[in-house]
Amino acid sequence: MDSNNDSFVVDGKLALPYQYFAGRTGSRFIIAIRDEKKIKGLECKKCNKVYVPPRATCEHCFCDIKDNWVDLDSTGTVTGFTVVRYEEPHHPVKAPFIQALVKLEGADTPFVHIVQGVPVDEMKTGLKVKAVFAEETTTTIMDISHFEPA
Amino acid sequence: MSSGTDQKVTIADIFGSMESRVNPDGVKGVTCNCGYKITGEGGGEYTVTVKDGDVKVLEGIHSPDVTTTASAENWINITLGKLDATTAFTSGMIKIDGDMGVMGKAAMFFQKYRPPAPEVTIQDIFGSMESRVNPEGVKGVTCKCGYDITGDGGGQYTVSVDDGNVKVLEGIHEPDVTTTSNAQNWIDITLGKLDATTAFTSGMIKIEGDMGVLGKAAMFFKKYIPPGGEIEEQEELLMLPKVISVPQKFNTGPKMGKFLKGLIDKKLYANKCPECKRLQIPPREVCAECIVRADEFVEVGPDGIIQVLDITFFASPDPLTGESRETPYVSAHILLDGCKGHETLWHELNPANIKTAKKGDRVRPVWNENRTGSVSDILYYELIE
Repeated sequence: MDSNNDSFVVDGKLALPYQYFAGRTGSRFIIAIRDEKKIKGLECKKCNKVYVPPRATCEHCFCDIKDNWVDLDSTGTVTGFTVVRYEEPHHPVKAPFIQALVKLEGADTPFVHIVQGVPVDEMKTGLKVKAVFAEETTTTIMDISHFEPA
Repeated sequence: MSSGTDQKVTIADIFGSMESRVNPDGVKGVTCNCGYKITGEGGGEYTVTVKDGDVKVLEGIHSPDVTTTASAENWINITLGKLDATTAFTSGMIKIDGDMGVMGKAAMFFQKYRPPAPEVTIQDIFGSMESRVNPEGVKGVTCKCGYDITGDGGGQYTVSVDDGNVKVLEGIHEPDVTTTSNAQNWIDITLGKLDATTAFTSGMIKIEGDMGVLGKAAMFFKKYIPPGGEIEEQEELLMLPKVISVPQKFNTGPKMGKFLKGLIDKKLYANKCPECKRLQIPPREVCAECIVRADEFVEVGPDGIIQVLDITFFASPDPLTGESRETPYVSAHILLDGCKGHETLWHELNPANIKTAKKGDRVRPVWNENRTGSVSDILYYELIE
């Protein structure tokens, strides 16, 4: 009987193309950042909550809030963070970098973005930060380039 | 045009058009009164009375079985389908007093409301041109374009561009090029309902003079928006095309490994069942019939005869890319020399052979220059003339 000498391994790559649809609400959010350099949220007047990133339906009372747009300050507070220390091709910046939850002034929910301008080992929650808008826009959330200490 | 700006959706129009929108099946055998208190600007009070299928819409509230209270804005949005009635009710945007069961039926009383179409006229299209000039499009351009719009509501106009300066004149004044179209077609072209190139090639519009000028004219103006039609403007919706890349490893195992490695040396190996003596190509670990290990290899081919031909004219799109491969292509079962019965190898046939190839024809492999131990080491089989 043959040995397994004839066995070998074929390296391959499976490509899975897909399309991410931002939807009405997500599109308006990104477009406002791109065209107006403004971060907008959606407000539930009943629950008195402002959601950033915006969602069309209030997650507490489930009512439709898709038209209640409010402008937010581009400053906020870091409510949590992690330091990404490994390299991946899809990372927007070189590791190590700080990925933080930023709760904007006037918002009730935080959203994830990158904080720069703080040494990794000096990063703390509670840090006041402000958005730096990208000069070259890509019509993605990266039209906010990053957040930096306010 | 001033009258055009009135072409908005109003509560009066929604209720006023109800009698003409009655859905006979929806009101069949129904008798009830539904009151509507529409509050805020443009509101009003109405009663829809249904008497055994007979529908009247009255102003004011008249002994209703159920009364709906909503703001004019919300009621317009519900009517246009922009606001879901159930959501509006549960979130308190509309109030319903009385017999809720009646309301359930009321949703079926009428056919869908269609807002009055904004009235588009040739006068408005040409009249609004100067306000729609696209500075980029007319930069450095000097020309005169005549438009002879025929039929009901038509007229003659000349768009005169003098080094970027645009004037729209009535009448035809020494044009470089003249476009002739009937009013309806020109309105459709302006609204984007009719493709200008199609209209031209099909003779719906006629163009006389310097066609090159007309090519530029398409850039002279910004999009025409019909009076009161601003809400129709398309919103930008974002979509990101992405590709997930998944690294994979295919382990050949000893049998498939032997077969694939053989291709590098232009050799084709089948394996032989020790019991039934049949060949398998490509080889498998066991005989699929006898379920015993089949370790003996036999070199077959590489030439053979076509056993089965399958020509594909319409390829299914690859679910991974959404693209279809070039057609027609031929897949074939080839009985290699040394094989018999169903011991065929599946591969492709040179597309150039499609017309002549038939069952029983002798074929030989066309080898890939760079062979790596893959089925594509054979590009395809081709007919031996």
